[in-house]
Amino acid sequence: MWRNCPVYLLAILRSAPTAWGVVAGAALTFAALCLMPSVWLWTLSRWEPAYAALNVAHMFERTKQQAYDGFLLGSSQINQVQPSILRSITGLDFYNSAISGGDIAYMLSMSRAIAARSPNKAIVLAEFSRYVAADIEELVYRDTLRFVPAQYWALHELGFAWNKANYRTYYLDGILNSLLPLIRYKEGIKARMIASFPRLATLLMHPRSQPGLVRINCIHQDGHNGPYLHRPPPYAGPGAYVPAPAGNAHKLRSWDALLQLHLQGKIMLVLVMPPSHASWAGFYAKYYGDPRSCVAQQRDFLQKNGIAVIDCSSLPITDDDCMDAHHFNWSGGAKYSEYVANQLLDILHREPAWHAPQSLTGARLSEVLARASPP
Amino acid sequence: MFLVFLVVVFAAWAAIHRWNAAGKALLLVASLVFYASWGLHCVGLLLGVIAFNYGAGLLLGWLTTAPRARRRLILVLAIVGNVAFLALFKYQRFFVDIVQSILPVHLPVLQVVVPVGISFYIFQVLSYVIDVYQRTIKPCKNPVDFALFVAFFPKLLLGPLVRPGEFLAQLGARRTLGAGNFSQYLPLFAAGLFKKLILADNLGLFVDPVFANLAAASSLDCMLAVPAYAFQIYYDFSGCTDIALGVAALFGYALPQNFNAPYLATSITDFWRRWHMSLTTWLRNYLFLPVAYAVSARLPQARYCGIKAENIIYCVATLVTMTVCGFWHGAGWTFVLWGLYQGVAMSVERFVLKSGRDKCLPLAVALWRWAITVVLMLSGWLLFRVQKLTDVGAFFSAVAKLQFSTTLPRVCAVILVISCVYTVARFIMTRSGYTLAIPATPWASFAFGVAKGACAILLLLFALVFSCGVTVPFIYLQF
Repeated sequence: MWRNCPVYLLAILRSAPTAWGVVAGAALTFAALCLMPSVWLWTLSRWEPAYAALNVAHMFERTKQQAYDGFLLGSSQINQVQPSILRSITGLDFYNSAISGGDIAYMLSMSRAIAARSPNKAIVLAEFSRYVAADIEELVYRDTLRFVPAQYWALHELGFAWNKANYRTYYLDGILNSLLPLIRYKEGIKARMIASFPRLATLLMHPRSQPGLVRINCIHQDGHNGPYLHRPPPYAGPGAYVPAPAGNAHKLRSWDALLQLHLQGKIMLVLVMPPSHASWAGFYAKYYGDPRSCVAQQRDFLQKNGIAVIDCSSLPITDDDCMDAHHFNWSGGAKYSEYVANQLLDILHREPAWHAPQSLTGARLSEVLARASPP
Repeated sequence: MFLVFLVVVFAAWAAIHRWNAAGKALLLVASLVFYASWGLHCVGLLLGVIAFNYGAGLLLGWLTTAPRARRRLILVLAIVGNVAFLALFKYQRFFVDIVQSILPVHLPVLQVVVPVGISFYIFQVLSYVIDVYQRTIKPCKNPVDFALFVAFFPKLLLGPLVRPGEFLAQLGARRTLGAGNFSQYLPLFAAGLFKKLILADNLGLFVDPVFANLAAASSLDCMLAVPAYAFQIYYDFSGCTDIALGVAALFGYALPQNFNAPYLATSITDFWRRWHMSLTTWLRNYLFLPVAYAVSARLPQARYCGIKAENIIYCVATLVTMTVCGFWHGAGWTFVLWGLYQGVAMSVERFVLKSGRDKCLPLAVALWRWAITVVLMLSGWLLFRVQKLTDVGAFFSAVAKLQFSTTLPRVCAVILVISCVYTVARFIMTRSGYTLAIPATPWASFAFGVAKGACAILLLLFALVFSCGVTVPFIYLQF
């Protein structure tokens, strides 16, 4: 029977040659596109982190390609921590994958991906984000679902998001994007085109569809995150704030899941409490109550479970360090980065299990710590 | 979301398509679910329309041997019912405004949400009852078949309008599933998505701000916005039609073509033979011809004031038909005037142009006619696009400013230039008799198919990656 296969095949093809041709052409092209990830890697290979969509897509390729020692996860506040400053003080290579409004839903998905994909056991500097407004939270879910492949999503988040029409759309988009890598990387491809072929890019893309932030960051890639606008005082205060409508139950479950990743030895989790400007500290109290008690409670909980905490709340932040109520300018970002780097070095010295030379990661950390100046 | 819906429905349909009744029932349920995404009240109204016309059709079938007057009464009631339904939802405010502007009365306006696609499905059911009355088709006794004829989701919102006899005949036979379904679906779907997401939406991002604020627009922007809109509406609507045709083909159903290179027309009459062909066919069959017969019955002489009676008949029927056509597009004076404008242009052409010789024209003459037609078409599109009549004045004031700065993004300029060059090149090629011939051997056909499939996938991905990122609804959804 098998000997007659070519004959049967020919008979089928001859019955409707154009129709089968279309099917074959489409299938072959689709398969070729899916089986050529190197095309997308090439497209994104010279990228520094830029913004949410790119950051996530990019990080996924980098984690496979390059053994980062650690990742910075969280919102736009930790986004100001500079990998280059961390590197100069600790000797460790960090990738800043924080995004605007990146809360625990984002951090958990990313940490799961890091645990699954990173060739070494990575340090995860997770920021405890206190202030996530509803609209920002939605953007985070959108980008997390659209750009983090579906296998890394936290399933308990699905139930929360499925009840909202927009979030459902993001889930469906995310499933489609997981099936078609090209679409997941589309922002990266666009931005790469703008950087490499600006004339062609402007011919192919409407200005409204061009990722503006990416354009800035492509040009000024120096290992730092964000465009660092040097705005003169007076700095803008917090705008209208819409609290996230959903309760915190799903978020606490996500924190718990993140903790489990650490306890299972898949990542080395360090919690970062970001600094804030003294003038604006009370602003969110009317929505949340006193945020300091909430922070302290969370910190105690994590410390009891053996999670190291870098508490930056005592870091003095002045007007000269701020871009607005809770974002730093270059000076504030540098101050924050140095503080985190020194605290991290201290934690690493205090955690001998992390740099036990038996493992690849431990050997690398012990080598770095030997070279780094003691805190 | 639509893609996921389509995949789910297709998978379910593929599993049961061998049982024709089950396949049709599934498609009907899917169509109603699809329509429910615009609001449950829309589904309720649609089901009401389906039930009303199904009953009218059965009644007309039952009264086949009854006196003509009784059948005509049923027909009139059905038409009045459908038109009243359409008027209530779509034209109520327009008529109330007219009455209130003439008489010193205050009429209440019912706060109703216009069901999307109402103009399309009302025209569908009207054609059904008229065909049953004229005994062109037999009444459909299967309620699922009739409901699917009205509500089949690929064509429910934006057409194309199908002839009841043709579609009901397709419903009677089991649909096949094979390579043909995909080979028809994929290129059409990819082309439709490309036209919509890349071409139409990008042009819309230039056109919409210009027409939204004509006073602030420069002369050049105004002059560019009209051809840009002409291409935008073509790409938007023909893209939507391609998607509808492709999706219908996936389920084994053939829908009629809606466009045949309308911008290659050498007269406005020719344009209407190529633009929204399913609507023009409907208007010809159910409005133009009845009006023409009615007028001809009242004009027994061969000539009136030196004008042939047939020309008078044509002009009257055309003016009525095109005015209704304009009014069908929207409840506004701009649409009425647009329709009237088309009717007048077609009537004038009746006297000016010699019919029946269009294809034999020398290239230079054809180009000249085509250029005039383009100017007339663009003037029509201007009338169609403006929000209110005073905007036409604002448009010409802006043009008269003679400011030659432009906000046209490069991508729109590229689309516009390529579209114009392609149109001119295709016009010349068509007129010169050049056609692309594929050798009739199986392997050549297969190779052509492979290239087509590959292009379709690349086009699809290009459309998804480089879409302008702004969700713009189909223009014809508002009609």
